[in-house]
Amino acid sequence: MNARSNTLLNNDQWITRYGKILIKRKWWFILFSIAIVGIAATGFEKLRFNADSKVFFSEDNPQLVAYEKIEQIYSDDDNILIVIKEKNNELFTSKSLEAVKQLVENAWQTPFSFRVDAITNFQYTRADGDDLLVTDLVEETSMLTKDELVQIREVALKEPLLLNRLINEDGSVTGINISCKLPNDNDATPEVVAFIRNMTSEWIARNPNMEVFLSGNIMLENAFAETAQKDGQLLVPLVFVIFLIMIFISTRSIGSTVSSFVVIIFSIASALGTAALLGIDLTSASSNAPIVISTLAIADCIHITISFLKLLREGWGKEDAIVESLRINFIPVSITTLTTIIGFLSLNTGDVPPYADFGNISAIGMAFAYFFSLITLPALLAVFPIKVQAVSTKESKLGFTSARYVDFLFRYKNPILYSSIIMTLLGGYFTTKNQLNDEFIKYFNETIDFRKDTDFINANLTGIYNLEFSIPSERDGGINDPIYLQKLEEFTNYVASQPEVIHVNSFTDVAKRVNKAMHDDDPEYYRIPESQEEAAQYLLLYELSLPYGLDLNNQVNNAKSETRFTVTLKEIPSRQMIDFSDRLKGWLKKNGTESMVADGASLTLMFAHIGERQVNGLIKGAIISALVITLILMITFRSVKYGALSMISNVVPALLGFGIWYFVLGYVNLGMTAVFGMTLGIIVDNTIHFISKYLRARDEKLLSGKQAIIYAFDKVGTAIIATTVILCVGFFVLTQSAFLINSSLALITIFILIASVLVCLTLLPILLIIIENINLKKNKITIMKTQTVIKTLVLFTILFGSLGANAQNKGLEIAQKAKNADRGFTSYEVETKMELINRNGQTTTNLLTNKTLEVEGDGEKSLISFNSPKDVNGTKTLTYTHRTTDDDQWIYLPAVARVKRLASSNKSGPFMGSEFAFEDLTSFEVEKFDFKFIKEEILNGNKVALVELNPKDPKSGYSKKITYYNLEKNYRVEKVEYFDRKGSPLKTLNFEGYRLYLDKYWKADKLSMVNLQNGKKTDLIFSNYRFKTGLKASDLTEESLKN
Amino acid sequence: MRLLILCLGLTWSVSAFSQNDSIKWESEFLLEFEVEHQYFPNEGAFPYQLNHFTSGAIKPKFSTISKSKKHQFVFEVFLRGSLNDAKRSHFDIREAYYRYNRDKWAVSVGAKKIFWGVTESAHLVDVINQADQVEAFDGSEKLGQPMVQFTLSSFIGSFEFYYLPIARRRQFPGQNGRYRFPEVLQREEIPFTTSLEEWHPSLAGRWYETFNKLDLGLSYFYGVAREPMFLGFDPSLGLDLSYPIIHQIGFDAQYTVGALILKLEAINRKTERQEFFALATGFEYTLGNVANSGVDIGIVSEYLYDSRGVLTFSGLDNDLFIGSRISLNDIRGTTFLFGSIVDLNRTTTLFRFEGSRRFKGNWKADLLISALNNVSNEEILYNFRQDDLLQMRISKFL
Repeated sequence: MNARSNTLLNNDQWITRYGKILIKRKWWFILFSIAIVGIAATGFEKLRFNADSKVFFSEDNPQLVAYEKIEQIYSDDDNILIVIKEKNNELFTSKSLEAVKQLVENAWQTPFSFRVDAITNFQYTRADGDDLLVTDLVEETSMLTKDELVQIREVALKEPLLLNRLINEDGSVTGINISCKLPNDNDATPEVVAFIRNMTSEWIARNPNMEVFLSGNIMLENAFAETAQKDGQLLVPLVFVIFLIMIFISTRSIGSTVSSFVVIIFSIASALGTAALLGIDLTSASSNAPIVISTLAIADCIHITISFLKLLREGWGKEDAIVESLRINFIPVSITTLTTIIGFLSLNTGDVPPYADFGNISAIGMAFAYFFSLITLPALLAVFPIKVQAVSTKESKLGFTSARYVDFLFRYKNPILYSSIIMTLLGGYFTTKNQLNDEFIKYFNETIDFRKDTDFINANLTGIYNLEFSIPSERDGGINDPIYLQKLEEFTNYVASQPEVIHVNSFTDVAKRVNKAMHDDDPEYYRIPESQEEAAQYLLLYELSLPYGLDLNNQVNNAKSETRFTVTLKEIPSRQMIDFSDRLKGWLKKNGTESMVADGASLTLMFAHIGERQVNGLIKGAIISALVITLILMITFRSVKYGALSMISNVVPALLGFGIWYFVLGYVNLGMTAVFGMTLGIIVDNTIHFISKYLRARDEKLLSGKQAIIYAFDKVGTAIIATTVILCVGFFVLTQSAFLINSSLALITIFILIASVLVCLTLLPILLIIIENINLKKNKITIMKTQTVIKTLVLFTILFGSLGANAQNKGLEIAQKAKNADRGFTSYEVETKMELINRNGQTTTNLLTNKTLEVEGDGEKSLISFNSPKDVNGTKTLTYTHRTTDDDQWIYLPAVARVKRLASSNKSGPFMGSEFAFEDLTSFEVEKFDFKFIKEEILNGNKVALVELNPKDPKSGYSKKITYYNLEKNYRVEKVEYFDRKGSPLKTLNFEGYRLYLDKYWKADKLSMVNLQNGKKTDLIFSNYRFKTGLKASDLTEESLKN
Repeated sequence: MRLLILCLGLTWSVSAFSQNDSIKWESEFLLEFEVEHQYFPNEGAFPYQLNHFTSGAIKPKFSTISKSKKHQFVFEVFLRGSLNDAKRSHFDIREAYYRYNRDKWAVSVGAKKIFWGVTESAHLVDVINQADQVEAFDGSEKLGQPMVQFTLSSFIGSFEFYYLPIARRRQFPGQNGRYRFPEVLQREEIPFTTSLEEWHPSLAGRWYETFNKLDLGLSYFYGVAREPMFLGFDPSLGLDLSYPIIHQIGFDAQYTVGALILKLEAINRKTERQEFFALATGFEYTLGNVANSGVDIGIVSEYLYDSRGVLTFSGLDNDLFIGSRISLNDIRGTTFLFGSIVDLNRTTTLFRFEGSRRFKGNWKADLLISALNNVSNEEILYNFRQDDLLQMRISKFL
């Protein structure tokens, strides 16, 4: 008890001294603040908006990796879908078709476009005697006869490649799909969109009976940017105006209003500037950070100005009142800022970078708001003339009622307590009933053109949601294998029969169409060609007849070993999307050939998974931040008891909020997953203010429990309600965002804030008194009862926590195949002898044991134990390699029983003095290199492919590596030549004594590395390879290093 | 003595287990011999202190693990014999435990070494083991601690729980020894504040988890302090030292950004007579493969704070540590470590250099130079002002 008062007193003296200096040197402080803002504002010119829909996915997101792989194989990037409706349903007339043809021709002029698909330029394939005739479906429009028009209509409506994709069933709506390869630059999207809008509006002016709807990836990205812009132009000014009014109402003083407003502006400016300097791009998710910052900055200002004005009214001198107000508020404001920052930083544990950015920008903003409200605000208050009417009696809005209210609370203590417990349990139950759902079209509300147009397209033409597969065959050219085609056809039929499916685009359609055309258009031959030779021949013939830009590269890979399979889907919720993707993969596994098993990928699927990934990360973050915040509170209050107690009043509102949400919408999206961490940091403020005042009353004023509660209500009751109202208003403005993930985030935050204030004004005081009673040991029965109650609450909190819980392409293809050939081993263990041989032939031997576990969707985990030299016996290293991010590495030092993390920078250094660098020994990941196919040659009687690998990592010790892949032995590596940073030959690695394990994996018995520059040599000799040893992830953790 | 009985019991149970044919074992035996010479160039601050010390040590270690990895025994002892300081001749069971290991959890019973924390220059959160003060005055060597340990890994992180039935006392150097106080402290002289004395049980728990590049740990310890509480010096009564009952909350965090690791450890320790807060924070930056030589250079800097001020037993109350670790990554495993701790309030500076290198396969040489300069007479370290040290060790591994 003594210790607590002492430290409070010490801090008080310190802050009082600071307050006095500040008032004396107020102008200096103001100037200093302006300088800080000025420095941060230099970042403004770097401030950029990133609208790429992929920003929502972290680089190592497995669904993104899968999606990018497909994009890479089929040189496919972004698209715009122009959908046309003829108002009188007369699409198949010369006039309309001519208009469509014109638009298609204009569409080729779209910047960055490389392909345009429409009904008019559809490659109509038919027989012409023994030859194959491939022409545009609609050629000369002026000479079309009625019969020809009817025939065109028939062809288009029968063609599986067009129906429900570029033409609807009654032939009234058609689409033009423009494929573009956008450069990595933020201005490309608006440029393309502006061109398309301009082109279509001109076209409509000429063809007034046409209507146009725009959708596609590029329009989606554009919508992200435009929506954020719209929000920014509308909401931010609105927030400012409302806040000005609100501050004025609660302070009734122009001086204080202006001062607070300056703090808000400074905070936002500094936060955005700093964020830009740190290289953080704004995204649609983070563009609302300014609103959140201003909302929270106000809370700081209000606490300080309200106490200041109250002191003035009580008759204090202005300067003394400023100092006193700083003294009273310093600790609570510091702690609340800290907890809010922790809450925002916890968003970093999620898997969605824009929300991490949102959290970080807000956290930076909070730090600035704290800084400015302790430095600029009091200085400005000292400068402005502020007058208030002195009031002799103690009067506050709550003042006269607090005593009565507390009496009321005490009388109904038990009913309130028990009803709170029941409400919390119910809230918790319904919280878990909320479903995760992320459908990107629904991110935009109906005021946004993208949403309106897309909804039309979904209803009248085709779906926007899709799922892609790249289905491999057994070998190069294998796509013409009749078995492959037959299986693919079965798969196509299976998928087409699924209820969610609108359209299936499969290579079999091409194969069948060509087969039919090659047999005199005999409909009998609309089936898979009978032999491989036939199929290959037809395909070649067909490809040769295709014009520039309409080739088959978007459906078949270069090596003709894989084909693309695209499913267009109805609007379905995330859960169903994931099930659908799994169902298709399951079919392939069960019914397809072994090689055909592939994972689905698409933007839709990425969004479908994102909620779950985000939540899994954030649950950890929320639990940690809750623990850290509780710890901070324990330290602040110097009491485990009060710290733990405040946690109850912090978690309960979130449960209530999400419980109510179940009845509002019933599903939770990406934005809302961030709410728990964010609000935790905010609502804890109420608790801190209340408990700190309560404790101050008890320690300084030596009031009894009930009196202390009345005092706390008197002192902070108004401020808690006022700040909650301000916060709710701020978030209410955000609910008006056209971006659903932002508006729903704001709405649930409001629920939680209201729940929090209710908890703070009812449950918290009761719990404080209960604790009090326990201390006083007045009534044993109450103690037992209340202990049970507290235990239940704590248990529930824990329970909730645990519940929630071309040369290039060819090179890449080869490397990818080598990697694939090496994958799927699950785990292996091997004994390794490392022989280091110097130029004089002297040998040093090291013995190691290596255990490796494959990680699905990422790199590998491997544990190396050192057996000899004896002085390092027992030392172990654990390495987690990642496809795209830095590796993680730990070392265990047995002498001190310590596990130590190592920085992952050392890649190029030697491993234990050997000629192997660390990077030579970690797992090979395709994502870490650029590839270039050099040539094929014969090595030791086998055909090998030489591929040049250029490391993307600047920390690599090599400029390039030339790897020899054995094309006859499942792409095993025979030899690697290493070149140093200057480009001169450095080392040669030879693989000897290959053996086949599990009939599938080639592993060499000996790796021999010779350094060409110093003549030294290191051999790695492997013995006793054991595969699938039952190694588990839990055997390769920091913890497992210790044994 | 009880420790010895416990260990004999364990050895017996090992043999009992081995007779069971259904369980196959993989065993390993390691032995290390060491010869050491210490030279203190300065005359001792107190009478009878010598300048030269010669000693030898032997460290056998036996460990065995069942093929299923479920059962494990580890037994490691340490024996040092000194020709010059009787107190430094000592025997200790570093580790002697049985561990039962399952997928998500494990239980260990027996004596173990436990390390907690992330920083290099001070180990604040690390409270389980007693320091082997006669072996290394900086607390880097530890005595084995009897315990029952339960570890659990879950989706919200790893948890460790400890029941520590006995607290071990710290041994201090004898009359001839260096790094001692004016009076020769006998091990038994420092009193416990609890009537159960060393048999007062202690309890501890720790949670830690890795979030990508961020590692966090939270720990709690209740029981007998390992570090004696120092409450002042009275010329007539001597040092006011005791082993109190403590409550300690510890927090450690580590964040890795490429080659940079940021570190933080903080504790709050509460006893009946004293409550204090201590912090160690800093960074470690590694320059890998400098100029393609294969050499790694690590730079470490840490700030150390302790609210006890001059009463800080380690003397690190407001100090700055700057150091470097250089590893040549050669066949011989050559490493150098040097650093300096500067007291920011007072004049004291501490310098330390360590070098080690392997030779002839299983031999190793270690060199240590340690110097204390301008030691302020306010600090407990003042007693060691004359104790600059040059130490050479040769070890053989079998």
